[in-house]
Amino acid sequence: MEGEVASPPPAIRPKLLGGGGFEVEVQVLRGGGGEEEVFDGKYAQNVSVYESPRTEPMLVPELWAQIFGYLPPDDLITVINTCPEWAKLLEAKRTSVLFPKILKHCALGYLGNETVKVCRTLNKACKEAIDLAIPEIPQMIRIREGMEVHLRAIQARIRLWMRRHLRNGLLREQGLPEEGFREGDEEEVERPGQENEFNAEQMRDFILRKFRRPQE
Amino acid sequence: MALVRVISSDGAAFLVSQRLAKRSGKLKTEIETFRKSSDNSEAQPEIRIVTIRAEILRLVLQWLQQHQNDPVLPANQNEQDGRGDAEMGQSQWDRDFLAPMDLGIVMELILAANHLEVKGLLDITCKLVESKITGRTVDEIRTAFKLKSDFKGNEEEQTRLENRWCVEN
Repeated sequence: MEGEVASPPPAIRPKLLGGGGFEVEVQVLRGGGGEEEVFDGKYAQNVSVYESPRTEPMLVPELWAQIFGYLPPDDLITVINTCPEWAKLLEAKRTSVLFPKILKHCALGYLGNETVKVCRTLNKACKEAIDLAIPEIPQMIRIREGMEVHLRAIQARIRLWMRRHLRNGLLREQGLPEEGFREGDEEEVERPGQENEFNAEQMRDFILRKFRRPQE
Repeated sequence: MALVRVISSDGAAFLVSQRLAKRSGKLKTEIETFRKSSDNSEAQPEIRIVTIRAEILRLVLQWLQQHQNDPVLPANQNEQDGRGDAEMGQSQWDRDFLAPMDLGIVMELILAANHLEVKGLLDITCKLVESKITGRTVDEIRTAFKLKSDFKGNEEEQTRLENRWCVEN
């Protein structure tokens, strides 16, 4: 990719121009011996692949790559910004590290709703980034979860109420005392094994008789 | 001509006219802060940007140079519909500027434009990334951006279920 970045826009002029022109001078302060080196505006592009920066102790790029493998994404961005050698070393990882970060900026105003949904499904970091950028999404999820809990509770009450009516009907037919239950009893938690109090055949017969009764 | 020295995270210094630098909201604030804190009104401000490396900073300055006579867009203008801004502001030069860049550089430019508060550049770069995402499937985006799914068990399916009603169509 070297050199491609600079074209086709005009390169920044390395010298100060007088008389209202664009004034940018590019200098490298990292030159040896502290002196400043005038650079030609292509800084950080012509670095050969996989070099190590001068460090003490000096490590080969493969070792740096291994160390960077343990870093979380935020620290990897810092590493990319530290020196051109490390930026080059992490070039292959760059899009995956940066994507969740830029989603935060893209999500609001640039991405359509369908695309936002797709991005939530990419991975955990993307999902988190979208939810941070659009807080209405986790809010809606919490509301929906709350509604589902209430819905399940209502369904459970209805099932319990039906079961008690069935049980009392069967008890009544057998001449046994009915089980009394008051308003609000249906809020009791369903007991395990309760369903087996009457077998399926008994319950089916009871329901059939219950349906026939008005016609008799 | 008043100048300001802008230093990238990896130590490259860019000497920029203050008029151009002030087109970035962040640099403008930094210059004003320097002026208030400095006794010498003639002193040249020096601003160190610790989150942007030289290659990216140079591109931002190139873009600012090209658009130095454009009206400055406020950072929060048309936030709900940035696409309109991008389409209006994108010139042939912008398209040529972005065309040779790989996605990683464009993404770094987004972070830089956001940090330096350069709304116009943020618009065109976000729009470019948006065009690479919109209309693609999950797998296509994962391939394009080298993303790996780290969902466990049924987490991905759960997210799809949430998606059915969390964003209105």
